[in-house]
Amino acid sequence: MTDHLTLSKERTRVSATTIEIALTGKTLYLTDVGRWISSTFYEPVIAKWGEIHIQSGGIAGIAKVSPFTFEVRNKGLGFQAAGDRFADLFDDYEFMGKTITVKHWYQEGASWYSRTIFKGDLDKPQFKQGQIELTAKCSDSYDAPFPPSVFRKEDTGLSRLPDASVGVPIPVIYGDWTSQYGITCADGPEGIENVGITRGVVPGILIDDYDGTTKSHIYRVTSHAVHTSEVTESDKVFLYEPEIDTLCSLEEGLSSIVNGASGVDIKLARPIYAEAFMKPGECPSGAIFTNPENATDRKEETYTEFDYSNDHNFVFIMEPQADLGQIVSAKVAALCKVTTGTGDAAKYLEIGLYDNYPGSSEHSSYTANTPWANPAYVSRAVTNFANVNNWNLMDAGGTAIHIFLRFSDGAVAGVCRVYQICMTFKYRPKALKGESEVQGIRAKRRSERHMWSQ
Amino acid sequence: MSIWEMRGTKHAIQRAQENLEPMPELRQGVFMKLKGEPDDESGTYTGVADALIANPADMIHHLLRKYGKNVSASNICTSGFGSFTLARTELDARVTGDFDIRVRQGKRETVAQVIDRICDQCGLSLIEPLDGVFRLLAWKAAPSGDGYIYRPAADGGAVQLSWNTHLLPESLQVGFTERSKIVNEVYLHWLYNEATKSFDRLCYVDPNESSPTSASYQTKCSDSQTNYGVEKRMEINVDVHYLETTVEWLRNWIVDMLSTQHVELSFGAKPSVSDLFCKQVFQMSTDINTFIPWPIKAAGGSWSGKNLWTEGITRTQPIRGQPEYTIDGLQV
Repeated sequence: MTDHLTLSKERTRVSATTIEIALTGKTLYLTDVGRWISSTFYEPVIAKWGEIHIQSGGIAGIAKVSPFTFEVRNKGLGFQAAGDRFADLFDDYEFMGKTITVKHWYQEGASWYSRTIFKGDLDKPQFKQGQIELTAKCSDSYDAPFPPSVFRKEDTGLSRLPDASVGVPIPVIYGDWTSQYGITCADGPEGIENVGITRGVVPGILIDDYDGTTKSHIYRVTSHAVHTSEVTESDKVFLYEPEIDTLCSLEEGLSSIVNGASGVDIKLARPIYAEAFMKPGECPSGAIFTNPENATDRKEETYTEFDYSNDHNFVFIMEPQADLGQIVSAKVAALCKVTTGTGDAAKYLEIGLYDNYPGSSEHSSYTANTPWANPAYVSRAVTNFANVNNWNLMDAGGTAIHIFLRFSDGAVAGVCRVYQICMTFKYRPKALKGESEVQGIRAKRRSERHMWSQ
Repeated sequence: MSIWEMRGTKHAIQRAQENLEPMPELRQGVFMKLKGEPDDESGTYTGVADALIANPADMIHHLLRKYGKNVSASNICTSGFGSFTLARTELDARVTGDFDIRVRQGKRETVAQVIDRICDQCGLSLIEPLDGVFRLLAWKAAPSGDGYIYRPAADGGAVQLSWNTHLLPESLQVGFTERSKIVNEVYLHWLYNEATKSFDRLCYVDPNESSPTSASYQTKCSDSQTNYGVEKRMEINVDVHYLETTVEWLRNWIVDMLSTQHVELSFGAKPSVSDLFCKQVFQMSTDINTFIPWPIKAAGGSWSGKNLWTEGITRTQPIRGQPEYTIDGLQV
């Protein structure tokens, strides 16, 4: 090991400790035994040195410096300031917040060398009989509130700030919030990763809920400009549907993003209200379909099992709760594994998306096949439905969206596990005509949420 | 009680968990994908113009300079012990790829609290500006032969402290950290989901559970439970992590640091140690063996080559006298 630091023996010979106080227009040079160091005289007014202490909070974290307190005799500073008492300086100078520097000096030959051992800002003087106690702190520089600002109606552009957003801190964001990930499963070598199911996103806070001219909504995401690599691209704005844990990307043209000095804003072309509910579903009489809720619980460890021997359709249902708008396109991903029955590489897992299945002769349906290449392992099946073409969500007839799973060649008996199934969809919200209708839908949502909770 | 505390003050990582309650935002919300604070045109923080600030060292640097009060370039250490640049390098060297994290701060705290949380979750130590300069240290793999796995980076090697030159021998006290501080099961909840206000992933090591952990860390935890006769779980939320590589590094580091007892010591010292920094690694000269043997049985009784680090330093100065130091040290 090398002796990295020069832990100097010389410094024990002739040494001194001094304090410099940098007032506006005057610097005070203080010590306990008066002496000249180089061409500066240090006044002998220090009556008591406090401890200088730094303490680690643990293996990691911040090592904190304690406040440094020292006492000064209330006597005159003959060389540095007129007056009979140190306290007289308080009449002419501001002490609060001024920087003090404590130095350790040592002499080699005729030369003095110094090292700063504490630097901080004066906080609170206390006057005692014959002495003045001064305290300095070195950590004020990062005790600032963070995030630094909150939403206020009186600020520029925030005159229509909703009451719920008043006083909310405006977020500061670091790092990459664009990553995509799906579902992984500890039970096999492959999970539903990178299928475009976006989860790494950040929320916007509503700052303008009814612009009378454009009927737009504006959400602020940050208090500062962000990296430009993402905000200029399309397909960055999502609605989160909490009941199905799904982020729905908005159809292009319905949103715009502003990345400026005051922050990042999302502007939606019109008010949007959407909720949906996905529930596990149905199967023909006599078929196995155990614990179907396990396929929608967002837990990788649990699964539902179904019998695929007779071309049974196993259905998961999304039932919107309000008059919402339309689905433009959709993507469904399933994490599955065959556990009983001989694997057949020729098989296909068929994922279907139906509008009001099965009695949907009047509606469109879309079906796609995913090769079931190695049924012995957990596999992912991903199917895009690019041309759904504006299915109405919760139209007058109570339309629901159904996802079903089926094996295209059902001749071989067996059991399949479904660990998770999820859907994301591109969304065109229903146009609203005015505030009265907005209120009506809000009331409807409240009512229906109550019904669901029962 | 802090998870990192071996002895000392409460720490921030548990406060981080308390701070993760739902924000006062819409339940059903509008979200977007984005990349956060960028570097300036000069690459002041990352070394690359306009780059995304994602390395924890760069992030802390930026937090101090942009959101601190009157913190300028002269208040940031850029070379030698405590260099932010070196810390960035050491962080990236820990994993395949970069050691990137992400932060969305929507709850009112202070800059110091957020930095404390980042340090806790990334194996970093920030040293407050005792002399006007912030220093940052990243724990890293020690060079071969040191006998211990981690020590603060960029310290140039351990400082040698001599019994006669530096210490006040009569003040030396040696002991062990408490057995209650042992950790030998680690569960980290990571990948915070802003939409659901919950964590989507769990990373763990537990000798009593089958887990996809490397066998060596399962063994370390198992040995710890056997040696100390205690099963102690640490289960925490680590909200800045979104990459599997970084959170696995953290899990393994926790095991390396906390699954064994450590030697702790306290001693008075002469002014000759005035250059010693908090968090700096030091070794004791072998003449100490005559008075107090190294207390861990398996290590052969000698202090030779044993790395310790300064956990606390107190400087006291009498009027008209020479300063003295009290140093608290802990085995690396």
